[in-house]
Amino acid sequence: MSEHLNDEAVEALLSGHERDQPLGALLASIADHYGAIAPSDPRPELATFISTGGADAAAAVDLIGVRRRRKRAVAAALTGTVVGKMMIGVSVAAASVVGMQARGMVDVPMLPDTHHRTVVQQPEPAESTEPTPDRRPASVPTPVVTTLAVAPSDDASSAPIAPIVANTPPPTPVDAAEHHDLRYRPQALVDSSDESSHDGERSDDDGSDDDDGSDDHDDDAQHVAVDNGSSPEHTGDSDTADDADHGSDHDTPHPGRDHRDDD
Amino acid sequence: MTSNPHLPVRPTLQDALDLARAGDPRGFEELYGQLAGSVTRFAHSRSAEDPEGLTNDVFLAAFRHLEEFDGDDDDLRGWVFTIARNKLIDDARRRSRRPRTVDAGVADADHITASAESDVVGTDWVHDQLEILTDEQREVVLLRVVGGLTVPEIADVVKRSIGSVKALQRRALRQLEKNLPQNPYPTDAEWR
Repeated sequence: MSEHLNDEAVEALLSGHERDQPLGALLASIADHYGAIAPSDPRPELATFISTGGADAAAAVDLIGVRRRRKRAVAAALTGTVVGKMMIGVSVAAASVVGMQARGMVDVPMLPDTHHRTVVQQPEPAESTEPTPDRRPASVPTPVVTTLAVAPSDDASSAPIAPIVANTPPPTPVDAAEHHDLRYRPQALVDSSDESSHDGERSDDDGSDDDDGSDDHDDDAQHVAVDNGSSPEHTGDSDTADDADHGSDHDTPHPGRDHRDDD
Repeated sequence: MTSNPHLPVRPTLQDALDLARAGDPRGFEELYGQLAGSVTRFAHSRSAEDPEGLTNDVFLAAFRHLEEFDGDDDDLRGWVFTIARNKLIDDARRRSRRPRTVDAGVADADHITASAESDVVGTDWVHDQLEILTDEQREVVLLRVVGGLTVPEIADVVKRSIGSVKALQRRALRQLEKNLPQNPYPTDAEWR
């Protein structure tokens, strides 16, 4: 029934050229029904506009100005919203980084650091820990390790803020390396604990036991070498016999120079 | 404001447009006289609450923004009907948000004249015929039949391609053909 409705047929029907067909008659009836409606006269506002030829253009210009101001207000509000959201986002991100820095999860060089000092409290060995006849201690007390959060300060003797971890086994250098604990400084523990041992060993070194503790000797040798190397006067003048006589008197001018000056 | 002495008695739509752009009141008057009827009829066909008032608003907006229009007379019809369509959409939204009220004076059948009754019956008959169409199909058919627009002008108004408008027309006519009325359009004599 509707196979004949191609583009040409549709155009003829809608143009009102096929009024003899039922569908054309229906469309013509619709067009006639609304075609009987007469156009109305313009109302006062439009009539004034037409009679003056658009002389009230000032009103139109004012309307355009209102629209421009409205667009500007919308743009300003949008800009403010975007900037505000960006500031909030930056603040949250900065707070997160600072928080992670404080927790020790990240290490940002530019931010002030909160130091964690690990203190190992080695208890005094009790009398019962005297070596037994089979040369084994009766009981070895567990060292108490306390990690203290220290406020960033140049003064090394500043008071700790609060302990974070207490009574935990002391971390070994292997554990620290595995956990990437950058703040764990076993060297400080070794230095603080080895000072007494060095002293003791020095006393031993002063004795006749020269074979054991070769590492300790190396440390002492390094200290000596550093001390000598830090003074350039010793490096250039140590091969003369006179230097041996004047080695302890560093403040005296070199006799050779005096001679050269005199020459 | 100066009138052209060589202007014909009935200026064309392009002449009226040129006059209106120059600020000649005759141009505005001609534009309104040539286009207002089809706009009012289209507003009636789309069941506007106040078709005459809507037509008035359409031309007031068109005349105030005539400087922004840079087309010719072929584009002017589509531009005016685009404004009318937008105002019809606003009118429909405004009515949908407003609770319906029944005017007692209008509801009183004694105050309705015979011609008005005929108009109501005819309008109802047309609405019944077009009720089977979708809103897009109905709009395209009414723009073509009542508004007198061409297919490219309709495509410009409804923001569709020409092929899409042709397809809508074809489907609408097939739908109307399937549901051809048993009773033809009621005449005034039949109504009386």
